[in-house]
This record gives sequence, C-alpha cells and structure tokens, in this order.
Amino acid sequence: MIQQINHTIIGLPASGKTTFLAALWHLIEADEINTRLKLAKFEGNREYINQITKLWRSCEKVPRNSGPAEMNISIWVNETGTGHQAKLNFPDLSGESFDLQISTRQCRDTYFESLNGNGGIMLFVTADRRQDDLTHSHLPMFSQADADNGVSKNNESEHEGNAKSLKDWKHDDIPKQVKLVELLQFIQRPPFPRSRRRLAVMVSAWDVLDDSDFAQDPRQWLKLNMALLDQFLENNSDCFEVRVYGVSAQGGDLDASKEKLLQKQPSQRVICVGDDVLEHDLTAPIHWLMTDL
Amino acid sequence: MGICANPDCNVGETGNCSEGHDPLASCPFYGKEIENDQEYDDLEDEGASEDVIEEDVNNSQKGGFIGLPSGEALNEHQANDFVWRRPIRLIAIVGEQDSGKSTLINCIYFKFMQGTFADYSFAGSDTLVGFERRMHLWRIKSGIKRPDTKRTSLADGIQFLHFSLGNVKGDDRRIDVFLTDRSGEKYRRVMDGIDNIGEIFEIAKADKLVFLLDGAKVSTPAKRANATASVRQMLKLFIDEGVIDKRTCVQVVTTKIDCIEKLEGDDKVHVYEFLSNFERQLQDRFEQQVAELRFFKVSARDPDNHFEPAYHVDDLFASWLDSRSAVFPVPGIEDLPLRRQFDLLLARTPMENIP
Repeated sequence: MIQQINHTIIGLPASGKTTFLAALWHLIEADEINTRLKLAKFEGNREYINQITKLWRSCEKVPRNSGPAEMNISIWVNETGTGHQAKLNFPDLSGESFDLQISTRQCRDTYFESLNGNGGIMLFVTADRRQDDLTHSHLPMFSQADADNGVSKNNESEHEGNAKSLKDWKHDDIPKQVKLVELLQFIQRPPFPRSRRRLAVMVSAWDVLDDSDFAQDPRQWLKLNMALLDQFLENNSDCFEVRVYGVSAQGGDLDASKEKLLQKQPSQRVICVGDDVLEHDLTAPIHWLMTDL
Repeated sequence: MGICANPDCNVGETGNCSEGHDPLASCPFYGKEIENDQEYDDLEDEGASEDVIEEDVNNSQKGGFIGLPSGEALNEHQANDFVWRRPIRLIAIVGEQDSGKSTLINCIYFKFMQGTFADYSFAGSDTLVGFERRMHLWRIKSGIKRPDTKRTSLADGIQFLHFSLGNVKGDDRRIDVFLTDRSGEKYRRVMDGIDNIGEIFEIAKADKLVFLLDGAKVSTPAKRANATASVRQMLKLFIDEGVIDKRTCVQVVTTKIDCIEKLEGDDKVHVYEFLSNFERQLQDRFEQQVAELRFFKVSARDPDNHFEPAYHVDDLFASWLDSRSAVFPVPGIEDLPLRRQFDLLLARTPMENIP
C-alpha cells in the first residue's frame, strides 16, 4: 500500500536542517551503504537539492536556506524489508520563518496544513552552540570581577552604568530552547489538530561531542543542555512520542579535518547515533517516524 | 541566466544574487517575475516583518497567516479565560516596591531553565514571553553590568505568570500555577487609603497569600521597623476588611537574606533576633484569624553570587503546591452574584473537591 506521509521539519536558523537534507539525499540516491529506506523517486526543486548535495559531497559548507521561501521537496522511498512505499514531504522551511513565528506570533497557513496529516516532526537543534541564556548568576564571584574592573558599589552610579550599557529586549533575545518549546506549544493548540505525533529530536553537529560523555547518549545531552525543552517533552508525552538522535551530516569539522573527510566514501562520513540506528544511516529517524502508522 | 522579482537584482546579467543567496534557488525572488514594484514590496513584506503584533490574534486568519498566542503575561480577562479551561493554583505575591516580587518569580523560572525544581518539572507555560521580558536584566546579553530586575509599573495593573508543572515523583497529575505580579506602589496606595482595597482582588482569591518582607531593609537599622510595620499593617488591613479570613493560607517571606548574612558578628545576631520576635508577634496576633501562617527566609538572587539563585526558594515553592485546603468551606458561595467573568475565581471550587 502506498502511504503518503508528510513529515514536518522544525528548526531555528543554523540548526543543521539543510546540511542534513543534502547528506540524506546523497545517502538514498547513491545507495553506498545499508539504509532502512531506499529511494524510489524524487519530486520538487531538483536544482536546489543538486546544488546543496554537490557542495556536501565536496566537504564544502552547505549554505543555509535564507529568507522566508519554502523549498518543497518530496522523496518517494521504499521501506527495506517490508517493501512498503511512502512519500516523504519535507517543506524545507527556512529557520528564519520559525524565528518569525516567535517574533510576529503568526504562521503561514501552509505550515498549518503541513501539520494536518499523519506524519511526524523532526526537530533540529545543534550541539555546536553557544550558551544563549547566560546570566550574571552563571559567573563565579561576580562581585570580585566588579572590583577588578573598578565598578562602583554605589547604587546611583550602578544604575547610571547599567542604563548606559542596557539594550532593549526583543523577541530574538529569547534563548533557543525556549523558542523551541514555544514552537511546539503552538501546535498543541487550536487551530492545530490535537493529536499524538512522533517527534525525532535531531541534535546536529554531533561530531563536536566525540570525546564527551554524551557521545552515545543524545537524550542525556538534551537533558543537560536544553533542560527546559527536555522537561517539556517528558511531560507532554500525550502529545509527543519522542526519540533523540545525534547526527553529523558532515562527519567532522570542515575547517580542521577536510582532507581527512575527503578520503572517506561520502556516505561513511555521516554519523547517526540513537535507538535502532544502522551505522551512518540518516534514514533511521525518518523510518521511525513512519512506522506503525 | 535566471530572472528575479527583485528589481534591484542583476542576476540575469551577472549570475550573482544581489542579496548574496547561494545557491540562487534559495532566494525567494529568484525565478519569479514581477510586473510592478508594489508586488515586489508585497513579496518582501509577506512574513518578513519582525514587528511584534501587540494584539493577541489567536485563531484569527489574515491573508494566509494564522495568529498564534502572544506568550505575554496574562491580564485579568485572559486569566479568567484560562480558569474556564483548567483549574489553577493562585499564588498572590504582595509587598512594597523593591521587596523582591518580580525577582522571586524570575528565580523560579531561572531554576526550571536548568532542570527540575522543588520536585516539580516544567510542562509548559502560556506566558514564556512574559518570563523572558522579566529575565532580560538578569542576562549578560542585555548588556547590563550588574544584574537587576525591572520594576513592575503601576500602569501595568495586575499580571499573571503561568507555569504548568508535572510532579517528579511520578504522579501524572499536572498542576497549573498562576503567580501574580503587581506593582508594590499599588499595595502602598491601598494601605494609604488612596485606592480601594477591592481593586487588589487577587488577595481574596489566592490559594496562598505571600507577603514579602524586604531583608535588605531589615538588615538596615534605620529601615527595619518600617519594613516590618508595612507587613504587619497590610495583614491587619486585609483581615479587618474581610478580604482574608480563616480560609486563607498566609506566608511571610523575608527576601534578600544574603544582605543579612553579609552582616558580621552581633549585627547579624541582632537582626535574626529582631526577625524572630517579629514572626512571634505576628503569630500571636494573627494566627487564629487565618488558616495558616508560615514563615520563610530566601535569597532569590544574590548580586554578589555568594548564595546560589533561589536559595531556600524550593521549600517555599513546594509549599505553594501542597494539597492543604482551606479549613472551612466557603459559605454562601452559591448566592454570590457573578457580575464579572472574573468572579469565576471567587466561585472556584477548592482543587481537592474536583473529581
């Protein structure tokens, strides 16, 4: 039976969505390694997908899909083993469009329609991140730092100093994990239909964690680095059935290791860590999203 | 060579996007033709505006767009709409200006950003933007040199900050909590008889009524007596006016105890003795007139980082979510005329009686 399944990609700018798509396309098109899903046919902007995949194969940085344009890419795949065929629709939404949801508090009705179906969600976050919610409480012995810099303890001059350096708040200041919680909360409420969806959290740039304790435990990474999002997912299991995957589409640092990466067969550069994942198989999270539907 | 709807782009001649998009197909205007500049402006403006839409346009559709919740702190009407949908715990936080009301709210949000807190875990919030606005002066990216909390404006009226929480200990029950945030100036105006006590309606409706006593003032001899007098007088006024009674759970929280702890020797001892005496006096005078009277000492945020954020706030927060109900049932509640929608909060059934 041919099932048409629409998966939705959610992810803020620079979260690795476009590079993932480039690597995924190569994996299922080149058929170099074992993958759970195999290519049947492609629909959509072929020029775009060819351009980004070409860059990826050459170990070049894949530019972000900037601007509010939506690149609708559909891939027909066969499920290895069962022979079931499915159409995977990836509205490659610009990360900027999700930032705009946060700041303008509105979304396109095409986004709403894409979530009306029976597919899952791939939520992209990056492991290669700066902490964007740092407070002065994170700084050890702040008062000592003040003394070293000659900051006056006098309240009046403190307020004057604060006033001079203070920037106005804007929606863009909201930390990424808070934005992601907001994006998920949006789709829990009308007019979005209330349903339980599978949600694959894709922690991209996983190669930066090679030597860390989390190297094989993406859920633990999420718990420690995006604690608010992790708690939210844990407590909303009636809406989201969650798996967390660590993925590196590039396989390493292009600036430091490009020559080494170029020696590998492209498919074998890919890193994918998580439940039921064959080595290098970026289709595993997509396969999980579509099984038991 | 391609075509582009941007009249300023020469991609057809140069092969390069004037806005730097690469690949070209990623440009929203590439490959499109526009007949006039007005259509280009429409394309550029569609979804590109970053102006905040101030009016809540939840569920409204405007020209291909769907409105989303604002995420701001709730006003009275929005809070009442919420209560129609789900029961809540209402925690009314009361105190003079700079007693630490907003800082207390911030530190709880700060802790949930890092993980579970007081055996509760974050399950969602309708007011994340409200929290984030308040957190701005804590964050390094604000550019501020020394952490601060923005003073709540009298003009803002009352605002409600919302947490939806799960219990870490495995109970599947979700608890929705509203924390009130109102300018201390309002409470001062009511104390001075300038404003009507009925305007601070959250006092009568609260599951927990939390008075904040400014520990920084307590640690200062010249300000100590007035600081405690303010709490005592507010409590007496609320009891005398009948807005709180034997159904009310009252807490007196001394904030900024980092200021007291920084005192040395006899000064510190003397302050703690003074506090003990004050708490004992409140107990003797008011304990029999309310459901319960408890005391806490906390440091929400020590600017000098000698105390961790939310020091002892976990015990306070857990007490807000305990299952203690009012000692006496609400008499004659069925006879209350519900003139305003928000009167629903007056008619709220205690949570323990909800099946």
